[in-house]
Amino acid sequence: MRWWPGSWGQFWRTLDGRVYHGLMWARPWIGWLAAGLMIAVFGLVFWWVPLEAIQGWPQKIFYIHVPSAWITYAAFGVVFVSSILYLWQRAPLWDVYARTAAEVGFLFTTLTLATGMMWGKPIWGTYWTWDARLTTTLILWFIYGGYLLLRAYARPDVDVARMAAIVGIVGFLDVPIIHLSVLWWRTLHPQPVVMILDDPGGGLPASMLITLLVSLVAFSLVFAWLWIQRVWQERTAENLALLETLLERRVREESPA
Amino acid sequence: MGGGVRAATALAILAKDLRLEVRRVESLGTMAVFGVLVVVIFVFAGDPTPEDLSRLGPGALWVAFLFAGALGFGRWFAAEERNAALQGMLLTPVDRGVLFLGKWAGATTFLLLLELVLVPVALTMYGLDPHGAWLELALLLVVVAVGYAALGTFFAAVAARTTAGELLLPVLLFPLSVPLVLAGAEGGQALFQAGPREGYWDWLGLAVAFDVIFGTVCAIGFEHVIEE
Repeated sequence: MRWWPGSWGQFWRTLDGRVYHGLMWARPWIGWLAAGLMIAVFGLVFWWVPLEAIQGWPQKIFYIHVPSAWITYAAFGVVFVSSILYLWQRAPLWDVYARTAAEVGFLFTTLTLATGMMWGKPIWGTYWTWDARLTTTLILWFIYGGYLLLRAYARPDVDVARMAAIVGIVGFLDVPIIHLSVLWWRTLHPQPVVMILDDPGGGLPASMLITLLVSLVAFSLVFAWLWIQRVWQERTAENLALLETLLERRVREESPA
Repeated sequence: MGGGVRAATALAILAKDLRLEVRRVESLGTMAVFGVLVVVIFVFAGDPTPEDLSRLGPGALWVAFLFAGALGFGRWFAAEERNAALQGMLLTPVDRGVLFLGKWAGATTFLLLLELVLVPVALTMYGLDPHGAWLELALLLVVVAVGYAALGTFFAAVAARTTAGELLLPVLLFPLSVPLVLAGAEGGQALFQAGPREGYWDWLGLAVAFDVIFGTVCAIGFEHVIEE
């Protein structure tokens, strides 16, 4: 296979394999880089970045919570794009990408909700409030969960890859509408009586901004690494199943009944 | 296939579903009774005062509508799976989008009939009054029913193709229906208030946008769900 395809048609047809080779090539690099940066993030968070004046220690969860939330949306984006490409090209790898990204995305959505609640208790005085962003994230968690349940319970005679792809697309398209509706719903109501801070991204000091940016990169790499590991596992499992089938056929051919 | 043939095909599917329902009034009757039960049981949730009821009533009405609708959708494709009826339909040279339109129209009809029972009951029992805005209320009810029917038809077909069946349907359907529920509850709330109808048209617009987007996407994507 030449590195650069001859035409656009060929580019799209071979894109799944190219992505796979790229991911497998980058796998060890991303793994080590993610591990190194994650250690750096912990160093920055606990020793370098100054303690926030009002919130104190609980504010540090911000450096885990915000990157997790970003990954939640990025992973859903991978599911969406892979689902479209699967329905278009029908290459099994696109389905593997979508399925594994949803799994890892679900994990990070759970992490976002959990860290948000841990931070909310000391700062807001409550684990949960029906804030627009919280509500959207919770509904996103349910959509991810439903998508994974659907994949788990599809009947064996059904083309699950195809069905899950269209469900992934419908789910993704709904997210901005859900966010808009929840935003309206909250702004038309009186806000709950808790201390709501201004947007933390606004007047962020340089040290906090640097820590956040390093953490964003580190979390992106951790997500990428986990996702690549899952893609590799799924691919290996498929190859193994193929080998077993071939071996069985060979054994049957060589031992006449 | 010309536009006339498409419309005739969708109408034929709609007529088939309605005929089935008229001959054994099981789905709609059960849905309506179940919906009314939800409306009643909501009142047991903490001994509400008349003020509470007028504030939370519109939301409770939509919860009842959502649950009863999901109950009906559960049967919507389960019936087609019986005796390989769906396979029979798939063997005909009919566009899958047209098939969806027919089922969607049927589901919308069912939901409108359900609302016809549910809304008067809720208005009476919760003491809600739209202050003369009957037309606006009817418009909101129709728009929400159309959108919910589109998502419901789509996910009923999806759920029918799993081993979990009707159990999985609400899990898939409810999170995606959140904008519709909010539009119905908040838009309804705006009508039941005595003052100006603040926000009603915004919510109606949101629900209309939802109908257009998901009606189109579900109709286009339907073939990926039902084809073998």
